[in-house]
Amino acid sequence: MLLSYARNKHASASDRPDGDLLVKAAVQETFFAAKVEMVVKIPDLEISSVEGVIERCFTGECRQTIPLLQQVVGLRIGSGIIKLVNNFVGGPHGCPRLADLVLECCEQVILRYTVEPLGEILSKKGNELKTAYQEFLTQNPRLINSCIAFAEGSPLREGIDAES
Amino acid sequence: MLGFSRTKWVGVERPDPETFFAHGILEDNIYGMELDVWVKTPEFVITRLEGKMRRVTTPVCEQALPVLKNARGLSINSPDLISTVNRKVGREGCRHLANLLLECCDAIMRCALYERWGELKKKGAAKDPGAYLKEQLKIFPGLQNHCRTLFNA
Amino acid sequence: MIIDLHVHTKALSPCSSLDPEEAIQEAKRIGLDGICFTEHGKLWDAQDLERLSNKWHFPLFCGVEVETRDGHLLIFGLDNIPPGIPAPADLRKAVDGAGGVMIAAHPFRGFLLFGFADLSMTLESACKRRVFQLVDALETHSGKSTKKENDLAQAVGQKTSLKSVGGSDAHTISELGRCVTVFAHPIKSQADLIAELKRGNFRADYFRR
Repeated sequence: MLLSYARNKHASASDRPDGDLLVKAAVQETFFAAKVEMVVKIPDLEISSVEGVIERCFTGECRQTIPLLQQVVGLRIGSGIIKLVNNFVGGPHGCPRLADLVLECCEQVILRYTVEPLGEILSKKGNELKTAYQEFLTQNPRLINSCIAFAEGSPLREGIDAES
Repeated sequence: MLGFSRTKWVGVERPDPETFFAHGILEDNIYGMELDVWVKTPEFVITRLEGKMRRVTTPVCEQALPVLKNARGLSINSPDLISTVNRKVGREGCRHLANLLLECCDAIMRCALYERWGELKKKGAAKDPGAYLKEQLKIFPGLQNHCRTLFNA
Repeated sequence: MIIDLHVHTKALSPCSSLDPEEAIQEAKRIGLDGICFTEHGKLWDAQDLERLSNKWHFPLFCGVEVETRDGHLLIFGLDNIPPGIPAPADLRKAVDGAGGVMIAAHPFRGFLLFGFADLSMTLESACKRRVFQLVDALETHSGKSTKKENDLAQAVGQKTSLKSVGGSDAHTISELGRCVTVFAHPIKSQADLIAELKRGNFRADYFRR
């Protein structure tokens, strides 16, 4: 059976010599292709520049939304970023596909800095691994109930009471 | 130096005229997972989901696979789809699996949205893409005002 | 008087599972003297709040958490919340016009496995955030932030001479009262709350850990 539709999305974050991050996201699909590239200032996680291009789209009107990307310059990647990006780039006057690529870039930034602490935890085995997770859980209230691994009843939550 | 990279791929098939089937793959430096999603028309309701975790970070992560059932019965047309999937599959299961599920749902929606365009083109009856999209709002009313092209359509 | 200054309820914040009446009962149980509902972009109706306060004989106050380009701001004393995503400077003008108070909420909240402090943010660079020039105080004790994040906020508060408040940012019952603002004088009304926030007779603290 032939595919009726295919989508390929790729995003990455790379370290720049000046310590900032260069983040890219691109999507290729049957009727749409676009790229977003942005520089994120470290340690503030502030978007310092952004560029984008819609290479292929169903209606030419989509390309008129490219200038909206500049509204994300100055935003800090942190709580509320999804709403801000959807508001400035997506929405009825914008392009939700472009907003999605900006958000994919933001996710890469977060994951880029998640790799290191996670790598430290995952270098441990057995009970030590469990203890390492529990240490993070006691330090960060946001981890509790963030997913099934840190939900009530999970072995990683043993001895950690959300009520305390 | 590349610090992180993520690739998501989704392919959509039409095993029968009433069914859309999406196969999605997510691979990055941390996670590796796959998802199969079946959606029935005309309601565009998710009827079946099957997942596979290839690379995860905790011994508990795989328990998120049965949580996928929380998405059964949801319509990909629903305006609350993103928040519901993020809550019922993401927070209660795995947020990366929820992310892949939303990617699959969006791919199915786009496939359905553009499907007739290909047929019209073959027949030489395809004219204005903007007018075509506005016509598709009958199938996807939730897309009204979704973007610049569909604003006040 | 110990008040949790940052609480979301399911009555007006869809992301919260906290029932307002359950929140009041829990607040009484754990020894809070009052709570302040600060929903996302929405204000409680003053009469509804008074009715609830009278029913439970418990002091209730109200503010609002507003999304801006420079992060979340807690606003007290503003009756009309500007729609959309207001610029902090515009919000400041509106708050001044209404005689209200504007506070930077959880200024250094990070992510699941890392925070701004882990990215080697210095105190000097942390103090440079534009929004700190516009607010009356910082939420230096947030129930949803890590100790490291709260410590950085406290250090910024000291260096910039901004006053510190505490609030749980509770969305569930178990989160209520994790951080509080301790007022030196009794707060009997919404006007008292704003007056005391302006006077600065309070401190932030951890409460339920």
